Amino acid sequence: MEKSEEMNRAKIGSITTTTALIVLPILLFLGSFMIGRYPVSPTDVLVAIGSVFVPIKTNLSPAVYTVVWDIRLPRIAAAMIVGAALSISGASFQGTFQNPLVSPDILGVSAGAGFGAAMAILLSFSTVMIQVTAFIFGLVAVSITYFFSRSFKGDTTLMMVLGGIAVGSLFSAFISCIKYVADPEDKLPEIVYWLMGSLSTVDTSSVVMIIIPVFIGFSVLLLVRWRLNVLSMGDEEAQSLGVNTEKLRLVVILCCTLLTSAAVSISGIIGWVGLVIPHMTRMIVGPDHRKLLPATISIGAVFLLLVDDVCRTATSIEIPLGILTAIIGAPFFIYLLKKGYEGWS
Amino acid sequence: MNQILKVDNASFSYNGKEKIFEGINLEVNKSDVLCILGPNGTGKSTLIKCINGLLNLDSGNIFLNSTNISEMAKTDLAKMVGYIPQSHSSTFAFSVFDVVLMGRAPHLNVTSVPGRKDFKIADKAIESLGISYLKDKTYTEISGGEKQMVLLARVLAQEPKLLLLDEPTSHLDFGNQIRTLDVINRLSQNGLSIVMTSHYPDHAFLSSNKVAIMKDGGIMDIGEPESVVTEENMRKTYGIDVKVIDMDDSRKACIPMQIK
Repeated sequence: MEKSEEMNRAKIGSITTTTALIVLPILLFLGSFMIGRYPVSPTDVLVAIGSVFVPIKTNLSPAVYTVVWDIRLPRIAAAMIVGAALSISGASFQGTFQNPLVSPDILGVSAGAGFGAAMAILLSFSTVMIQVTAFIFGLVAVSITYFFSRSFKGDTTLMMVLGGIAVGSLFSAFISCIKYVADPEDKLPEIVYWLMGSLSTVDTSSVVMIIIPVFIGFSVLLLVRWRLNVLSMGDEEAQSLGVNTEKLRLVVILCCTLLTSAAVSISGIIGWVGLVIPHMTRMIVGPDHRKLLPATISIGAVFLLLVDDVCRTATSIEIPLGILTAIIGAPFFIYLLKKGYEGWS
Repeated sequence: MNQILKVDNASFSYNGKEKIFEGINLEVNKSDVLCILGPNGTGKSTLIKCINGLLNLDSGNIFLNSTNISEMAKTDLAKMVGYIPQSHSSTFAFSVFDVVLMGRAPHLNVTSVPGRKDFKIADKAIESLGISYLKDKTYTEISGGEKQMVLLARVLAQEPKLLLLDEPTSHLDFGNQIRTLDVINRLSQNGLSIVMTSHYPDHAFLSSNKVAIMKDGGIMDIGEPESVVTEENMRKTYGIDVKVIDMDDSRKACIPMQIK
């Protein structure tokens, strides 16, 4: 009797959590349209969005349309996509490398993308080309790490993490070179600002550009999510359970690299999200990747959208997003460590 | 004779030069419990890993149900062979049920998640070992003896024909060692074949119908426990004096002599 009551309570708890994970992002998505220097009322937001899909007569000013569709929608969408992409990548990497301290840029993707962007800015590329170059160099950096680790016999996972650190600092050095030669009046601030991470340059075209890689990354990771449980128990054990660990790990790395590269290419380098959100989510839904991966998408999206809302409205000049995520993320991480929570003993 | 496993002239080396073992021949039939004894570092665990396909032999062959394992798909091998490693830990705090459920991996394709049928099989495995009270506990927080039972449940959920246990009793207290051997006996009575390594010659008397002694990369002796676990063999294997005594009509015991 007591047992079934306990089970019921657990069930109700999990239903509440699921509902919150679905409803919160939607509410925050709609709510974020109202925040900003140009005031838009809740009804205006709904009308401006709805009238495109259903033919209703409105007397909204074109300015409202521009604000809702061309300024706020791309930015809100980008914040949610970047937050979700970094978080699911972090969670998948932590499972794949059986290491809770791994973040999505462990294989050098951020440094690679940063170098690509810095170079593109130096060569006065267009915004779109800066993003494309960043994306490509993100992939290049991870490929170097991957093939480097494959050339070793033995523990390739360890070699991959160590290789990632080496490749990451190599590209960081390249970034420094570019900063050193960049024009301090003009190019240098732009590079520095890009590296801090911000969504202020995002427009509709940049969001459209990353939709395909992001869609592929999300879908494949969600499809293999239960296998990640088995992989997280260690290679030998996963293999004895019939899992092709090499192939599965490659698939996860590919997906996470697509996602992180895409995210970094439009947002610049945003730290801590991919490390902290998976832990936060694990505290709420547990370590089972079946629930963990979908939940990180929701919580990651909500978190970065909230932070970005603060970034663009709290002060008269924008706060770079990457700075704020670190200011929130680092203390939170220490708090988790202090709590010594059960997920990473 | 219902042969499940045949190891034929197997040899292995990690670097291609120094052989870990050489010329190993073994046969395991249905319901057999084969206990492999031998000093540290003779390649018992390595042999287990070769049978499981985790490592590849240098030469020789391993047959499961007359099929060479080098020609089997990994998932098919995992449907036939279950394996419990020597030491085990989990990075993440999975529930016991989630850990047992992982045993279903070879039966599911890459993109599927376990369904009702798999939940039932996992539940059955948990119940059959009498550990239902652990089901919702956190795997990283239970005791070593309980972990061993959970891993046994996982391997049962895998529904294999052959069980490979690498020192299943090494980290357990006295009571849990015997309880594990008891489970091993029950599983073999239900038709499973078991190969385990052990450091306790006594365990061979308690649970096995076959014993092999591995020493210096080869099999020194193999056969029934009574004929293999002898005072002379134990001296040769471990370099210590033991006394093998009759406990009653049906069982013997192996006792170390006094330390000089």
